[in-house]
Amino acid sequence: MRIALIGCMVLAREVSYALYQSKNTIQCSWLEQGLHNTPEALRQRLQEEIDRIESRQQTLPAEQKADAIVLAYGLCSNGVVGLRSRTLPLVVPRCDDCISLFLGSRRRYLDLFHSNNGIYWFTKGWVENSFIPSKENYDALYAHYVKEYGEENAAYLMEVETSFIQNYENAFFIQSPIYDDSTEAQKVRETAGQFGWDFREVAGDLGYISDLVNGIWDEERFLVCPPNKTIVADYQGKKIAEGD
Amino acid sequence: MALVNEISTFLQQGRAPKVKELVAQALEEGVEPKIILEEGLLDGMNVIGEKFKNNEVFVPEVLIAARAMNAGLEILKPRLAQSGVEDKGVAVIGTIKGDLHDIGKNLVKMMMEGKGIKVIDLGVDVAPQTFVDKAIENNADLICCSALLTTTMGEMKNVVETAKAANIRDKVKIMVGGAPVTQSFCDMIGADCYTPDATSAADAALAFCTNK
Repeated sequence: MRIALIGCMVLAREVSYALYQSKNTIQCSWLEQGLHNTPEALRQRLQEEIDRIESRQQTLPAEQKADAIVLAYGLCSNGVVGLRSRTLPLVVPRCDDCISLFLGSRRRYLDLFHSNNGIYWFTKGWVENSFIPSKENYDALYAHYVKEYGEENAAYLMEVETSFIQNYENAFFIQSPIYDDSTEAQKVRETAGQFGWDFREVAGDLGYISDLVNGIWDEERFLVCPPNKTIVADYQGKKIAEGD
Repeated sequence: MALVNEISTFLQQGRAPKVKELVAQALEEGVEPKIILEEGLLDGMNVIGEKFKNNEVFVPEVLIAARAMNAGLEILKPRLAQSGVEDKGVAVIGTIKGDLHDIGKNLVKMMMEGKGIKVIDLGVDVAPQTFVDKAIENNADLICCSALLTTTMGEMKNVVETAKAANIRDKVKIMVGGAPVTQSFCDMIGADCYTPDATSAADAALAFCTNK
């Protein structure tokens, strides 16, 4: 099977590992981490990439054409809702976000979510790709605010931007089964200490990502949206469905 | 009036001490509290709100402007009450149960206050029953819920259901917002209003309060 995969950079190491082992031929495009913060922008970027892949298909010889477009994304703030393809099925994991993908299943994520108060999740990918809460990052942000808005306003802005710290209770670091992430884990452990959060390492599981790239797309865990149908939100537990 | 315009300008620049000083000065000079509020403070917040909606300014600018507004309001409030100026409406606001990120909710709160609406902030992780109880207790016109997570947004439906069970749906409008929330979700759960940004939320809230 040939797959065109669009993935978030936060999952690049995990997806790359899975495709390196896969029997499938996989063409990857990566989008930068953080687009979920503006779901409309995420949707637009994904749709552009889908359109680009499909246009390119027309120029390829039959044996090189893809069989499906696969998104290494969850709902990601509903950024995948509204997407559609014209010629290829669109495969999307039925989960809230990448945390389920790192943990191996949506069920495992939800179990942890519901049995612990206020979890802030970390992985090596998150640490290296995004602004994560840490004393170091906040010191830099404060310096920037002082320069832009003066000391008094800077202190207030930091108060507002960091107020969530007291709402959270746990820093969970998803430990990779494939690479060394001890430096990042140590960094997060220190941050947790500074913020008064409990630190815990949780074992990562690449099963979900592996099934995504290997075409093991059961109805429960994956939506396979046919061409010319739109991905719609499903609030009844399936997360996403096909619509007109 | 020059002084009132200055209040609006300094507010837009987020200069809280200056706003406070000028509000005090305006009161001393006998400017009507209602004029100071509407043509100074609320006017300044309106300008910032529009700029925010058009991506001309960003979250920090809104936050410091709102802080300046509150600095002015602090000394203006007692005088407003004395002169019989009433709130334009009452809203209870909070993030939905399980959701702990409140910057968006705080922005909406500030924008609504910038429209002259009294906002009762229930904080984060608010249970549906609490939204409803507080709305009844404060005779609120609006319940405003925010969610940042697709995991938690489903709780908003329970707010609508709880409000129905308490027989307050004819008195209270329910507004929903937050990054993953959409108009179709709002329709599906039977809420009254979805807006994609804090400025539009405040406009919609004011419209609900004045058209009652």
